[in-house]
Amino acid sequence: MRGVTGTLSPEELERYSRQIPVIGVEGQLRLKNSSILVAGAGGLGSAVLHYLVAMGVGRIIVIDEGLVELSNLQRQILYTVDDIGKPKVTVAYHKLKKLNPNVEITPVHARITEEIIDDYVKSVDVVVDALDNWETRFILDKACWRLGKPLVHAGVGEFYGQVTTIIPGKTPCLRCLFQGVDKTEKKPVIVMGHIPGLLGLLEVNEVVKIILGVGEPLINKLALFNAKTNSMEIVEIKKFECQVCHE
Amino acid sequence: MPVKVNITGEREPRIVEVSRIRVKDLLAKLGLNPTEYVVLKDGEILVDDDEVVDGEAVTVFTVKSGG
Repeated sequence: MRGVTGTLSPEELERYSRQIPVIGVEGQLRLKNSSILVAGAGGLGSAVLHYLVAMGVGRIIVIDEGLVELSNLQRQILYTVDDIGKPKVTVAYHKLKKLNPNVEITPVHARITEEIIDDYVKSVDVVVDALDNWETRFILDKACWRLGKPLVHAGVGEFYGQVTTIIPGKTPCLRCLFQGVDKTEKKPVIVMGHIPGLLGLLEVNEVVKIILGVGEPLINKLALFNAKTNSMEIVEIKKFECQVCHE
Repeated sequence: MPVKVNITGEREPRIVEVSRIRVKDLLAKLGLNPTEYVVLKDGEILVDDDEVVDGEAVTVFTVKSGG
């Protein structure tokens, strides 16, 4: 993570005046000096991007190959009917720049592959998994492991979701944590509209803790959220064997 | 003593009367798809061919893949 350098403009001091009392100017500068890769600009990504930009991280790369579809609008809050058919990352870029022009945003309209992902992962401090399939998640996971970058994972379905933070060398990688999942399986996301919002904000919370060095990120812990019972169960991972991270 | 299975989100543990069972067979017995669930024993992630024996307790949770 980069150190605390630079200053805040009068506009930034006013913009962030409700959170600077919590984290101090130093904390705000830590956010400003941070860079985040958000993989996926769908349901999770919409929430993640909105809040990371609003709170003033310095630089965001957002990568997604998708175009806005009508069935996205139930949960992907960055988009409207006017955006249908347009690349999600392009729409997201324009919306988010209006929200906070201080943030440098790089939209990448591309499929995540092993050939291209390293260049993006290596240029950021933290990576957020806002994807909707395991095949791409494991490509991202492997790159983060190879390059030693923290990866914040979430997945959602129906009224449920899980969140965890992967730290290469300290935790199992995503592949060994979820080694039973069928990575070739691709089916439409079936989820209540608000669930990606809830879990996306838990991902933002992980990013904030990592950047600011506060609190307890979900390291070797998996938070299982059940919106029906308003419960979040924390499962602790104590031992693991890995197919990827021990290669 | 049987195998006790705590499935997250369920109030009561399920009791499986076996002396020894592989994880994939345990999930099948419970009617759970192994590609959608993770099984932990004392914080250790178990894989399909790992075994659970009489008297042990495991935690089973579902993994969601949407985004």
